[in-house]
Amino acid sequence: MTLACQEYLNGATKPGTRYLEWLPKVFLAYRYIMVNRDESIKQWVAEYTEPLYRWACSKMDDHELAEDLVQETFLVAFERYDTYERRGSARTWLTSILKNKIMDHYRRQYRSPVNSRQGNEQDFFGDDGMWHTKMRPESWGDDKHLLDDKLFVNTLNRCLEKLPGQWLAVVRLRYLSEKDGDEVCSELDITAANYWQIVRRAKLNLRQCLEINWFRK
Amino acid sequence: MISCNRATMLVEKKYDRGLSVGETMRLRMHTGMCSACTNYMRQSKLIDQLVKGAVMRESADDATVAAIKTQILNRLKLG
Repeated sequence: MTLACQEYLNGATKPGTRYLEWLPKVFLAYRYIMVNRDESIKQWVAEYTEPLYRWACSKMDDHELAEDLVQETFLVAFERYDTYERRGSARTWLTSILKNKIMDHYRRQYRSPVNSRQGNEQDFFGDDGMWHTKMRPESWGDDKHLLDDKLFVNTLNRCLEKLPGQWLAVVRLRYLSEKDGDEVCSELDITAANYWQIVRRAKLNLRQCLEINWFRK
Repeated sequence: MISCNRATMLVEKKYDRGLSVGETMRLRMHTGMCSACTNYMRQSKLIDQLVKGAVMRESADDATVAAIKTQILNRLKLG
């Protein structure tokens, strides 16, 4: 290719050999991209590390892992720079790489369940399908500004942390996909009924945890 | 009349992708008589909003972000 390029630049090539016209252009364009890659990535690191990290932290409890995944995102972006389409925004592209990484993590977490001491259906409902008296949801009143209360957010996070990893993976994927459960179901290869079952189990435990540690106090 | 166990499953289905006409009626009939499941329905929605809202508010501190930036550039040998 370089030879063809030199010949071309020296004017040694005959007119009519069309590939010799575009070949050097492709070559130069490729070099242009690669020279720009380092600069682009540097700029992206400066500009997007914070929003990406924030975003990752909002999707996972383990902030150290979020940190790793953000780092890996930039490594992937570096390797696949030539596949980046300039028409879209860099941030969107990086976010989609990061999102895939996070989904991979939850897929793995879902597949390697750990035994949990959290309640399942029998702990909440009797054989007749009615609530156990102690488990009946009470009214929580009408507090619209719960999230402004740092203590409440702490309680909520502690209750979330108590959930077994497998359920938490489902819950997190649910908010990650920001769509209906279809995406989560196909990600985890589970049926819709199975998905609602897990969501409900997680909610039953979460709401009980919140009721005991916050609303009843 | 459906059980509370079944009703709470319908609540999750409802918030995920909606119910059929029959299911909607069964759930309404149930919650019309069962205060516990009515509370569950409200709280299930609230928990969705709370979990979503809480995770959005977590903020990253500047020192961590600066450290991540340096590490990435080092790993890419661009630093």
